[in-house]
Amino acid sequence: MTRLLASFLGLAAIAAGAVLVFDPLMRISYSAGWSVAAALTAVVIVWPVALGAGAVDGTVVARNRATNLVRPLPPSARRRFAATRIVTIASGGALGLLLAVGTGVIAAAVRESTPQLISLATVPAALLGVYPLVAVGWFIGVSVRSWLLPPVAVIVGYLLVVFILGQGPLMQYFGATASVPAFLLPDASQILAILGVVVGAALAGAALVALWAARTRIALAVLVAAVVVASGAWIGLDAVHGERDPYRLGDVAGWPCAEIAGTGSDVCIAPDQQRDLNLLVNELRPLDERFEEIAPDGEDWVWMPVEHPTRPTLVYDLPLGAPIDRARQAEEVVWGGLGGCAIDAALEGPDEAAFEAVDRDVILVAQWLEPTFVPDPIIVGRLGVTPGAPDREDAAAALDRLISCSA
Amino acid sequence: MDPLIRIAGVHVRYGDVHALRGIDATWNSGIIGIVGPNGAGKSTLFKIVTGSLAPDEGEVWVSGASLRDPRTRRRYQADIGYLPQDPGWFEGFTVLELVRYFAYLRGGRTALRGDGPDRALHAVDLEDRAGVRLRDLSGGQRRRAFIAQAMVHDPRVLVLDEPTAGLDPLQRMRLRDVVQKVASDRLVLLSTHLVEDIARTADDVMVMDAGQCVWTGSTDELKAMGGEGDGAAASAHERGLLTILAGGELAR
Repeated sequence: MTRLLASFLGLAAIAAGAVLVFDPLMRISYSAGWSVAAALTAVVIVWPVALGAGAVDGTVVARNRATNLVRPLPPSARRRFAATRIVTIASGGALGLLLAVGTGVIAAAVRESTPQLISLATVPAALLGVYPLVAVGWFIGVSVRSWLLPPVAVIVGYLLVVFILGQGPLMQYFGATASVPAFLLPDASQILAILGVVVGAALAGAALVALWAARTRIALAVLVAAVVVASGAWIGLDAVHGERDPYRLGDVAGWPCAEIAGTGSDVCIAPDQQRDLNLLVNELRPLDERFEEIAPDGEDWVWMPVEHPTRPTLVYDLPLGAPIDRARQAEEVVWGGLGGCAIDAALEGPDEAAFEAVDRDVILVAQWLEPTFVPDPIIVGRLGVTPGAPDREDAAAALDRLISCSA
Repeated sequence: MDPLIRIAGVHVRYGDVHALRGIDATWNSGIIGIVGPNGAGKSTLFKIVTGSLAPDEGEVWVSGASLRDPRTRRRYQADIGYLPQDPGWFEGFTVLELVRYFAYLRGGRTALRGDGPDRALHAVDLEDRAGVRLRDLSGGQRRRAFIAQAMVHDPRVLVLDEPTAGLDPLQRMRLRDVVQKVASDRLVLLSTHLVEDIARTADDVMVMDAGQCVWTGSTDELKAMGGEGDGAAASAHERGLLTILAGGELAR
């Protein structure tokens, strides 16, 4: 039974991970983003299932006549009995998660994305969390002895994840991975705090098993201590970081850059991805050459995935290793970076005509950068924009209006 | 010197059911046969003796120390072997895996390095069946395998709950031989509702009925209780038991 449950849990982790491989959003997240998403998978999908799997085995033990053979054993033997079953089941889930993460990292590496090792820090926490979840489920199963319990445990597990973890910093830490590019690094204090939560949960699981084996004061004391540790880490995490983004930027100004020959613009990338710099220069050159024709003179432009602290930035959102969609990239460059300031200003004002003017400028610049870019037909009709590349003067004027608000 | 196990005034209630009513006993060594009809309270008494159930009233002492003390109970439970009536799953285990699994549970990895599993298999004459799965064994062989798991740690007390139930005469005879063999240097508590098992293996007998101990004595005394009678209808031991259970009237 334990091997069956372990296989089930492992396959659940792998299946959930496999779904992520085909998630188009993952293409922009690099391998590290993928691995963090695998950790999220473990929290959202595997943890509640682990709770249920533990509950199934606990119920089997409690309802089987074999319990007559286990009950007279000394507490140490009963602890080993419970621990071997729990560890076997949880290891199935942990192994599945490792395989899922490993597959993702390899798949990304084959596509020439560079693994960002620091982001993998979330994986051990998510992986270790499987063990206490199985232990808690097992303890409840062996205590309640009802077949109604396992499905109820899974449902309650999901509700906890959605309504409690989803509101707190833990979920924020694991979550939002699809939009977390690899250059955003987890904060070290948060890794410690999250490990505190997981260690507290592991202690609680061990204490519950010890309580089942023998109702001793020590086990009860460990349980209380575990709850204190986990709660303390949780509260600390919440107090320190609150609603803040749990990821931070490194030293952006110190990132390695390469010049695009002929235009003078720089392309910069996170240090861990430096290997991909030349590839990136080649991918961005066509866009940069077009941009150079309409760009204001004397500006020292730089291509980066985030805003440079001092230089005017062309923010790219390029999926390395994946087929490049230049039309989408052109739109992203204008919407996400160049036009950001003007768009924000227009959104704040009550004047719809001003917003439409900004919208038109965005489309003009995007069409200039990539003539194959086709805007939404509804917008085209409403704004009176014609397909194909605009005049250079019109595009330059549009760009000037877009970036002038930040000047 | 304190007896190995002493039970005094033990009562157990399951809701409205009074399962044990003031049991007293003192055991030191040898094979103690505990006999009585179904529902007499034998299995409940074994739960008390194995420390897996605490009595509602009364006390159990092991070598003079109360079993209510957690440390005494832990030490004692590490020194008993138990074969329940129906051990449940483990059908997929081989004999050796079963014995090694319980050796690991009781003593960790250290126990696996010792000769406990091999010694236990030798004691129950199952060395040649060590690699066979339990589901492929006969009923008697399976019971012997579970006796081996019960004595893998060489316990001072072996508790066997209805070990011969459901076995054919040949298997019962073989199992009785094994019980006598393993009882040479320990206390064996053997429950059964088959008087013949008691007659051929036990040194002393405790007869239970309706949660009470109604008689104790040696197998010879039980036989003497049966007196002279029709040997074809029942053995002297059976007549003795019937005499006890019927308050001395029925069998004569």
